[in-house]
Amino acid sequence: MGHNGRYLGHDEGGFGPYLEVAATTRRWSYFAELGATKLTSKDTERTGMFTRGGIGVRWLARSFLFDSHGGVDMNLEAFAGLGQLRWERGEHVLRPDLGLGVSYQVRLLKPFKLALRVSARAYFAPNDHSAAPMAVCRGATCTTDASRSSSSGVMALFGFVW
Amino acid sequence: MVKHLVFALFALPAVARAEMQPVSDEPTYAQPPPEPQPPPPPPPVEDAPAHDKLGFRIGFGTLHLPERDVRTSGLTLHIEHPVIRTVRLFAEYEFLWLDKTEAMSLATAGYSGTGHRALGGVRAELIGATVRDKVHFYLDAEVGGGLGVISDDVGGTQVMPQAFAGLRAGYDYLWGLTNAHSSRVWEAEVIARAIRFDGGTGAMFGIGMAWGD
Repeated sequence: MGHNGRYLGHDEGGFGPYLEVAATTRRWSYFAELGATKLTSKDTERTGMFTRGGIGVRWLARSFLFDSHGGVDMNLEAFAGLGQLRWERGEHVLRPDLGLGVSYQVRLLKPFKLALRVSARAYFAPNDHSAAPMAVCRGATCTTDASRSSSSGVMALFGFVW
Repeated sequence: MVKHLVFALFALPAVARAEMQPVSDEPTYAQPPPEPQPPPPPPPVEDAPAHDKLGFRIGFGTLHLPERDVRTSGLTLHIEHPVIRTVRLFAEYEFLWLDKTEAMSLATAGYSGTGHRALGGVRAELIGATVRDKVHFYLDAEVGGGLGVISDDVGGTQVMPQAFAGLRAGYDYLWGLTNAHSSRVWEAEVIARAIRFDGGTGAMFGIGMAWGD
């Protein structure tokens, strides 16, 4: 799992392990997920740990079968979660998020069922205004208070499914 | 005498009916089993795809804004509808991640932001070839336009009507009409696009996939 977002207007992101369990019907999957990444902000040179849990639903939108042995699928997914940013020697912030994503998976049907899935997501989250303000707003046309800016970002998932 | 008359009344008609029936020299057998029919011919494989498609793309690019450049990463969802076999209309939505801006002036350097693009266009095949009825390679040209919105801490929120032109190269993996559970076509492509908007230009390079039904 990798993510790249903003915290109080500053860049933050990292990579780490991810685990998902899902209950699947024919075209729908309902999943719960848990992930943890190292947290780095290049702007402020701060580091920390990001942990996140969430739930979501995934729709098998399209499936192309090369033959009886496997194929490649397209999924659309929606999710909600709660993450915690634990900055070293700093604040710990809880951050809810909502998001949408798309994924494709290369699926093997024989001799055993296994898939390699790659997901790309966009998420939207509010900032925690109680955290220490770090950002400044620059530029003559600036109309955005960076300390209130959205924490929207991108998330990528890469892994095996069976 | 009476017995002879009664016998004649019943026996003569029976003899007459027997003589009227044709006699066949061929022996009679049970009806032979029908010969096995040859399997129906497989449905013809399409020469080139002409399907409605749904797909997505991951793209990377730049926006040359006044006094600064912004690198972008985008996640695109797109649909497509064929007008004729080699000309297709498409519409797409792209979520943009704006990378941290590097600039000579502190006033125009900024932190990362986000954006959205809603675009539509038409693509037409320039060159195409189908190999072994299974894979169709192509080079397409595309033009279109739409609306973009970006938001970061330097420029605030900016609405940018834009036009674009580009090239796509890739292949369609063709499937026959024999599998009801599968899409008919799977497409993989690379795309390069030049973008023009009021006050600047941009570019995008991406890789994508689409499924056609």
